[in-house]
Amino acid sequence: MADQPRDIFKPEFLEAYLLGRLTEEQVQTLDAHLRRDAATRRQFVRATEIMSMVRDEFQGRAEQGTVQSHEPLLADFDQLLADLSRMEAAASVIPAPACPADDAIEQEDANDAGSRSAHDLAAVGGYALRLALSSRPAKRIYAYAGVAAAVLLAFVLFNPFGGNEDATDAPFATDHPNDSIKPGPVGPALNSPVATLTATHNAEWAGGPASAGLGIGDELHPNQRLTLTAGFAEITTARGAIAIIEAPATIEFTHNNNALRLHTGKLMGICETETSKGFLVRTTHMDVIDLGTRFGVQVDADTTGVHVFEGDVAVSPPDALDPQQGAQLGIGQSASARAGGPPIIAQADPDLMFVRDWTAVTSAPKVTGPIRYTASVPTALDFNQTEADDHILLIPEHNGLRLSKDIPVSKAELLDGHRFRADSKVPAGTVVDTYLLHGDIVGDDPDKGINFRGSIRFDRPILGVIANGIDLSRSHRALGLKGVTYPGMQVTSIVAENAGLEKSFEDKTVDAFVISEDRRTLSVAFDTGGSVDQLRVLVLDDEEKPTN
Amino acid sequence: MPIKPDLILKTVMRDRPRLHGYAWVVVGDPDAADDVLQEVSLLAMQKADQINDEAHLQGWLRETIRRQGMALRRKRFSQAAQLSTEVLAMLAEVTDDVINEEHAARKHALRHCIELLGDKSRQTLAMRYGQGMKPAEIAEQTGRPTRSVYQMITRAHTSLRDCITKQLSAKGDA
Repeated sequence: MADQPRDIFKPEFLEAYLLGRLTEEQVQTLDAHLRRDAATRRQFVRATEIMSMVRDEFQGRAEQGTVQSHEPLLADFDQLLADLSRMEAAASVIPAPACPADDAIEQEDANDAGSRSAHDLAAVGGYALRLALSSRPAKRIYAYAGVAAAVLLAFVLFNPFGGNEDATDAPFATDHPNDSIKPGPVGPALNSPVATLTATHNAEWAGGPASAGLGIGDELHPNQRLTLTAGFAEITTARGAIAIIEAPATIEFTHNNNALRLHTGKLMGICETETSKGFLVRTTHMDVIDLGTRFGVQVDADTTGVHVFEGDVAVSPPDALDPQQGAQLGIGQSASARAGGPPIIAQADPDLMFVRDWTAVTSAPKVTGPIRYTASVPTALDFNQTEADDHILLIPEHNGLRLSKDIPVSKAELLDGHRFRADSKVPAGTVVDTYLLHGDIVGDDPDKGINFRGSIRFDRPILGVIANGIDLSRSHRALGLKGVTYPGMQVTSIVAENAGLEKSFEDKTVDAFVISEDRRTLSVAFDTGGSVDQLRVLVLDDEEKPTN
Repeated sequence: MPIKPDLILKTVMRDRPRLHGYAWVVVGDPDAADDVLQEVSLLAMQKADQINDEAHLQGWLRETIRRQGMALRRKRFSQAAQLSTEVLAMLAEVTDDVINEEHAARKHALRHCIELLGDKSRQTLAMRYGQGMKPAEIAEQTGRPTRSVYQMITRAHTSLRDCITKQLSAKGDA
């Protein structure tokens, strides 16, 4: 990312800020100009309004099959407002009809018909407003068309959204020990969608009718079961909770519009709105209920683990009736549970790895084979510390790092004995993104070895890789992350030397790498055995011309 | 006398681009700005009995968008650089001056200027906003670097702003 001197303000900063493309220094420059220049503030406000209009315009064009323009809708909206006013006036004189399903409410409503109707009117209007303000024009149309009917409904049913409350709560919200956490008033009918697939990245789904043709924006229904075999998927519940699912994972939806079952795999739950509070993740071993937070849940055959990054969550055995079986976790706390057992609380497990937000997901390079991208960095990358037999990790280290000195790299396989040697340098001053590939199989059995073959596709040119163990160890000082333990940490360490790749080592290992002709794809082969295998990749940060 | 819910609806719908634009500035993401605007609008409906009139509503909306938007940004986009609280408040004040100013004319100019964009720029904006694709998804589909997609969107917006300004200026001169 190119640096921008603090005293230079460019007009395109206005738009770039809204697209999140300014560096911190550039934002400071923009801030300073806005602070001292009223004309710039005015220009900025105009720019923001125009950007919103552009967005609306293109959304409208995308819906042209159903909408020719916004103007007729606005005319309908005026009519709608007139209807609302008439109905609001009527609410004070028309007795409220009884709700046959609930005698207590019937009596309450009969006593307070006018104010209750006005309240419901506001609630329905609010619900319609939510739809009307949706970013999708089609939803706005439905809102305009449906709001009058919804308002009428408010005069027939005092609890317009509560008719299927049982269905909404089923199967597991009402009996939870935490009585304060209940679904809100807006719930689905029996087969109404309870969530939406809001984003994917490198996602692949297991076959089957439930997932065939699954696309962004698709609504997800009760009893729908999905298996994500690769990549990431973001799912937003009808109440606004976000779950970022990381493959491999299997999830299932229920009639609760703010919950999902996580059968296996990993998710990050994000609940930042009042309506999403109470988001429930149920596993075989545990119920995890959000209390307004950001938390990760990981499930395997025997155990469920939960880790809280922000806020609080309540955990308990599934369907627990006894409040004593539950517990509340705060920031930095973890808990794990096995089937039939209570959650056991512990402090943060540094090895728990969850993607923190969708931005981290979308910045991920595209990987194939048993390479797993992780957006959060393990703090222990020395031998026998972060192990797996089914994948190697691709770990993002730096974004937009300007090199302070020349870094020796390899662009092709050239050998120095059985190890790779550097064949060029990335010069000081180059702005790079760096990644670390890390392979370490479980245990330290010298006779055990696993072959990993895969590739990584970047959207920028690869400047080179550091594959030689000594060079790799030396590069930790300039390119490693603070707080992370790397192999050996000593240049002379055998562990450090062995942490690089080897072409052959006692005729057992045949590590390899190939950078594609367009320099965007790195193919690797790790034959990982008695030592950790690592490779650092340097990628050009911006569309700058490489200066090798 | 408290404001009526229908006036809240009408105000929010009429001023949507302005309010959404401000929410976008505060939270730094257009989709998240939608969320903020929805939540704030709902809150306005619920608190209608505490809002006196349209002028009070305007100030209440600005302040609530700023407060909720900043909270959301801290949680969801904590690493992104943000304008200072003081500047965000100053921008909210400017927003008032721009209410209804040339809105219809700008919309007309916008449509004209969109037609003047290059095909690639128009297509990129259509993918970003019409189809709701993230820049990374557009990059993946078009085989271009994500940064190039961002640059193209930025340039398209800048071009549209310049074009609209010229269009309105020419109209004013006429």
